[in-house]
Amino acid sequence: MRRHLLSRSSVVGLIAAAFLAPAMAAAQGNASINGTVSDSASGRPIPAVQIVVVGTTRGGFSDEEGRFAIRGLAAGTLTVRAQRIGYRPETRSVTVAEGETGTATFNLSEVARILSEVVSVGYGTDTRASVSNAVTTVSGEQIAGIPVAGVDAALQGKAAGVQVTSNAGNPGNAITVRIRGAASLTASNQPLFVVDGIPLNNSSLSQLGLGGQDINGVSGLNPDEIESITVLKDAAAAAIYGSRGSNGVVMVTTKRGRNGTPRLNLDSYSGFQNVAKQWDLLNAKEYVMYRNEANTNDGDPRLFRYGRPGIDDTISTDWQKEIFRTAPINNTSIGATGGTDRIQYFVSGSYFNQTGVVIATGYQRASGRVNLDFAATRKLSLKTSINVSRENWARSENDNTIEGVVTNAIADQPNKPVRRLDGSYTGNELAYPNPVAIANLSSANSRSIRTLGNLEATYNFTPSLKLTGRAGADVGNLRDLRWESPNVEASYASSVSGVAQQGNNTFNRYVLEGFANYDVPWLSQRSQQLLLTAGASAEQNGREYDFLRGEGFASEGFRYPGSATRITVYDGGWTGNNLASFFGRANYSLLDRYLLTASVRTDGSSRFGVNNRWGTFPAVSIGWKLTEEPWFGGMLGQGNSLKLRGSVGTTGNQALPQDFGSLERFARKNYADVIGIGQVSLANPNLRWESTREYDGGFDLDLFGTRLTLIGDYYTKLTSNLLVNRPISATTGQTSELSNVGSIKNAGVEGQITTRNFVSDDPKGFTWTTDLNIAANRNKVVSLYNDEPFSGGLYSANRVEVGHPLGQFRMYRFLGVDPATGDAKYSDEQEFVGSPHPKYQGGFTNDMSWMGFDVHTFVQFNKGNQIFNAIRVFADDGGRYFDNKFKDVLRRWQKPGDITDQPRASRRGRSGALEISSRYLEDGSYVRIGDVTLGYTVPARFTRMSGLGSARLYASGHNLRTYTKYKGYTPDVNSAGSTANIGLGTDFYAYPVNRSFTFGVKAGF
Amino acid sequence: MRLKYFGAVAALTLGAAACNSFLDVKPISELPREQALSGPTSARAAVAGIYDALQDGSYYGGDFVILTDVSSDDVDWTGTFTTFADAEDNNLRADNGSVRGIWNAMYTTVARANLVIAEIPSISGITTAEKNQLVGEAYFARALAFHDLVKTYGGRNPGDPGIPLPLAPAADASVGAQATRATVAQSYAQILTDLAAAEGKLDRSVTDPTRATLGAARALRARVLLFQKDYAGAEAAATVVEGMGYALAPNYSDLFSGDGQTTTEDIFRLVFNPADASSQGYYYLGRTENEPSAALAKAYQPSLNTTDLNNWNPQDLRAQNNIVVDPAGDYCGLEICGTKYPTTAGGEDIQVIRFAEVILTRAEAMARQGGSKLAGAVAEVNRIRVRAGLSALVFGVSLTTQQQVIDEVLLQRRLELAMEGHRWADLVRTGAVDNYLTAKGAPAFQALYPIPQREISVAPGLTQNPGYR
Repeated sequence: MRRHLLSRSSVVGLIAAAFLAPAMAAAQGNASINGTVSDSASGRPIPAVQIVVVGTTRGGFSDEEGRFAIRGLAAGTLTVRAQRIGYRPETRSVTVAEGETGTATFNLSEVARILSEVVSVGYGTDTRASVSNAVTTVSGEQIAGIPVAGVDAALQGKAAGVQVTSNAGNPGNAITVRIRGAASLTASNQPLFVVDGIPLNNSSLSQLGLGGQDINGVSGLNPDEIESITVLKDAAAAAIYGSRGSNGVVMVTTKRGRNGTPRLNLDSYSGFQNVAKQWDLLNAKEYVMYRNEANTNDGDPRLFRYGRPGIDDTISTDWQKEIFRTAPINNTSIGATGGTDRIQYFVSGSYFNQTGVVIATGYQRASGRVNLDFAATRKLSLKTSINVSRENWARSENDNTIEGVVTNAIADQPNKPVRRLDGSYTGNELAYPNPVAIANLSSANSRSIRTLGNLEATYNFTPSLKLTGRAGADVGNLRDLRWESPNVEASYASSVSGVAQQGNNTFNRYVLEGFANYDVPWLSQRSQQLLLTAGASAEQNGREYDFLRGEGFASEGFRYPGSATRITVYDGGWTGNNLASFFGRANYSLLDRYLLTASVRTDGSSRFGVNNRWGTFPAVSIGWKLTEEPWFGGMLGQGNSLKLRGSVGTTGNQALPQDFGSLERFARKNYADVIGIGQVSLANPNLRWESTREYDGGFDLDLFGTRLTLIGDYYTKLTSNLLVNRPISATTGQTSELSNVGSIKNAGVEGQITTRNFVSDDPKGFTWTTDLNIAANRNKVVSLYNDEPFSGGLYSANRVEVGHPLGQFRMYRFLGVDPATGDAKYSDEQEFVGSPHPKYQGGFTNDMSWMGFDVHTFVQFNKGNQIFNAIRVFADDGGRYFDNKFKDVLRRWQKPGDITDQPRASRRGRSGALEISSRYLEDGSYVRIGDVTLGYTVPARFTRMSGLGSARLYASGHNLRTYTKYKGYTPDVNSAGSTANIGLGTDFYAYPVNRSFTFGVKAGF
Repeated sequence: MRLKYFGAVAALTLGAAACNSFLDVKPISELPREQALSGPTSARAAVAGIYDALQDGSYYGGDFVILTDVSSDDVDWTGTFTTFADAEDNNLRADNGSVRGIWNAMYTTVARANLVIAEIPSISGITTAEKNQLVGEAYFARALAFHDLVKTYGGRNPGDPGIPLPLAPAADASVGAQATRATVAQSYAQILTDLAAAEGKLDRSVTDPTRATLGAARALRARVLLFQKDYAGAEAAATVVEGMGYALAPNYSDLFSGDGQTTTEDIFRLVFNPADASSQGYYYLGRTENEPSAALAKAYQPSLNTTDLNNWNPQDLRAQNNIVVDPAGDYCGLEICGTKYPTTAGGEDIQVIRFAEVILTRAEAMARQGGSKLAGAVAEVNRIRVRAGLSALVFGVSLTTQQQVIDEVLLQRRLELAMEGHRWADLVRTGAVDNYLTAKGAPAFQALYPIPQREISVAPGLTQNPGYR
């Protein structure tokens, strides 16, 4: 216990030191620096350039005329730096006496925007030009205004090597993000999201089982509040996050205040959404005919139940039409920024409201943010980044269920009406409960309240040494409330007079960390720079949950299990884990030409076996700016640059679904009302980190006077000691054991090309920028436990086998329909018949502007993956089940000699149509017109007249058109959800991804 | 610089050591063994945990009973789950998830019993008498699970591969990888050894039918000997049970009431309640995916026209309890509704061994021994018939040959125990399964369930049953 306290106090001490340091600080000065910033080529003033007095807490931004003024400085020789994206940063040395005002004039020269971008590297920042590992940045502008709930969805197609899959289109759904491929079988493959330095709790939070539709933490962030996102892709970049870096790191930086008069920004859009495409299903006549043919073919003289032609097929219901709707979407954000030269604020509030395209679904988010920067003394600055959000999901069950809304709209027979003549919902006469009744009478709501934020103190001991202490928290509660109405006929709930479920999940993450950044001063005189970073971090995670499910309600009006006659499921408990870390990094550059970065992190996690608790994750990367070499001269022309990069690093993964996986555990196993206990897991004291060793080689090339920028990378990464719930013989009493077995390799190439096709010195002139990113990843299982393959996913269709991609489809190969018998023919053995992984994917963005008009287009593409259309198991089953069928069955075999790919109908399933086979695989390649936005910026003379600072109006279309051979709603699908590692690329009645049209305004006051 | 670096390393090392206790987070909602098995209460709880395993949704709480009945000629599957549809079509495959679930649940039962047998003797604070009782219950449960395994997955001849027989708690996962199948004969020998151990430890004065008792162990012995075709042994064992005071419940329907009342007929039944529910009622009446077959209805009422069903009017009280025939489909949505399990919430108890089965075992054992025992066999079966509202038969008048007596016993066994998970094993045991499969156009190898594919892949020493790939 005593040691326990000691360990924490060491971290606390570090932070306390930072806070107490002002006592040692020298008194404030009253010297000032004024100056201007202008473009070295055109001579025009540059606004919004950040001015920093190095080694102090003071700074500001240039105004519209390029002027700036910084007061309250101590007298002496000061280093002033000016920086802005798109320009090469410059520094000036200014000597000022007490009470006087010095002057600093900057003439900044333009560089490729991308090279001057500030990148977050974890416990510090850097510019793109000087990093030597693989990172990608996405600016806040690129993701603002896209009509989706989360930052993750907005990232789709924006960054090379970042694969984003919607999974399903239900509003606020958890999204799958994979950086450079998936590498884990059991631990999470989602990247680590770090928001203003605090790792976000991104686990699945809801306790309602609604198919693959999860809820996670990313949706709580309002995309409008984001300044920039940096994706740390290779191990060298991510190693500073050690045991959580394996899946890459998404560093999110939110907007901060700027000194000056208060500025108010309004950002608002609204519009509507609909479903772009429906499944092509049989109508009543076709359905009745087909089902009766299935009986006849099996020699059954009877008609199938409810199948009399001319009587039972007179009504035809398009169930999909009944559950889909055109639904509104709107978002309003208001942000205020301003401050003095000592205090700056950014305050923002937003409300996002998305009504689902499926009836009775929707999502709302209200969020607020306060980011404060406070220069407490000349040496001490404090800042806060605090976000509070409230989210509300109106959900519906879909995917793998017989009581789903989308599911039953696809599955129910078309020859029955939605309502009977007396107005009541049909149900007992249907194969599955009426989807319209489920949507309207039952409900599934989740609601979260969440605070994510931190307090940070930075103390500048000297201009070259600063110490930062940070305390952060991600705390919240997610409440689930589900009601299954007794009035949905033929549902389980109707047989027990209603079912209610209520769950609470209260989660907390507390992070304390302290770190020092030291710019070794004596080296800077020798054309060298050495930046050292070292620190420690302690993190505590906990999750307390309870869950109740009750049956039997006296009235339809009840909702909570407290009103139930009997409680059928009850749960409650706590789980948690702690993480302690020490980290360090050195960035060295020589002659601004040779770059070296080395980092190491040591993590200890309570999740692992006592024998293997600690892991060390080192990384090193080098960069060489060839164009800075004297011998290189002007080979590429003036102002162009070429940098070569190389890196190697090790990262880990500890994101297990289970905190105590290394222990033998016993849990409640009661026998009715008798107290019972039973073993639930075997012990594995050797349980350890998954580790990834990654090599990356790349280049950054800038040509034709910053008109063309090329970034390319090749990487190979091997993830070993995979955390796997490996199957074990049930004769042990357990069927799986969490252990470290096997390895997976990912290798790939990524490229990003940015061209400025047209540039103009005139702000009204024509400009056109194109950005293309493309990535190809190859995934291969290298080794497994005893190299024994196993299967997972729906119908065990996804295979994990050495030499094959993770989750490759292994099924019987469909060899066509025998023209003589009408039976489907298959290979004798199951074979590898397709992969859920795309061969390559990317995004293509074009931005044009002219005379105040701007056009933005974004096209996303994905090529070479297969989708297991598991809906066919019921909708293309040769007439075995009651479900409605895809129109494809109309070209079925009917008589000897028919040449077709559709087996004959057979009520007993004797035509072979039921086999899980490549017959159910479809090409998942697609090209999607992701966004088209047309904007108009109102000329300043009009906005000034009306008191506005600026105003832009725009109309936008999202997911306008998808070109694909896939027959379902969307090829961007996975019914197994964002937590699936093996069950990939499967569509099992997923909620469709919507298409939307919005109109918006962006105004500054 | 170098010195500083060493200093940093030293600081990190020290700090790391201090952090180890910070990293020692203990579970609360689940416990390690030393806390889980720490005294009398937890020892008793560990035994209750065995019954929990028997109650599993893949075992007596659901799939074991449902899937085997669906495989048989008593129950049809009308639903959408392919694992059940494959049983309905007698087209099981080795990767059938329900077949795997049944196997897993049975071995979970065995493992929990093994833990009790191994650990309870050393737990302090319990009297020797109670220890004996608790360990005896574990031996009974292990014997029951082994028998359920061997009759479902084991071969049909004594020399055929039977089942793996783990007899001690697994220290770690590697033990399971070594699993192999003992022969059917060895499997049965172990079952009888376990029953002998149970009979030696269970206290005769404890008669709670919701737990293993001496009577349950003896009744299971009779069942096991019948399956071994040791008819004299089965008769003797059944006779011993007869002497313990069990009697048929006056009303058949009392055995399957929603509130789980105890009757004189109960030998071993599992208690369920809505929070720890079985799924039989749900599948018959809630989802209505289990439909008693027309063949079963006709067995109850031979005059039934199975293509019309409108003349359903059975005299048999069991038929009236077990089946509602409604061609219009208004009662439950099916033409034939299974009503043995009256609630969809699944709170009713599940009969595992009841005295009627012991009587039928005795009747069959006597009938198969033939000769002078045939009259006695008819007398036994008459006890069952009369309770069902049927007339008593007279040997030599209505039944004359040994085969007729055997057929009558098997018919009453089918009608008496319908939908209780006995039919499939009886078809296999008596060989009737072969004609049944042939008539359905299903391959003969489907008489045995496949060893789950997943099990073979982790324990390569296990052999698959013939015919499965």
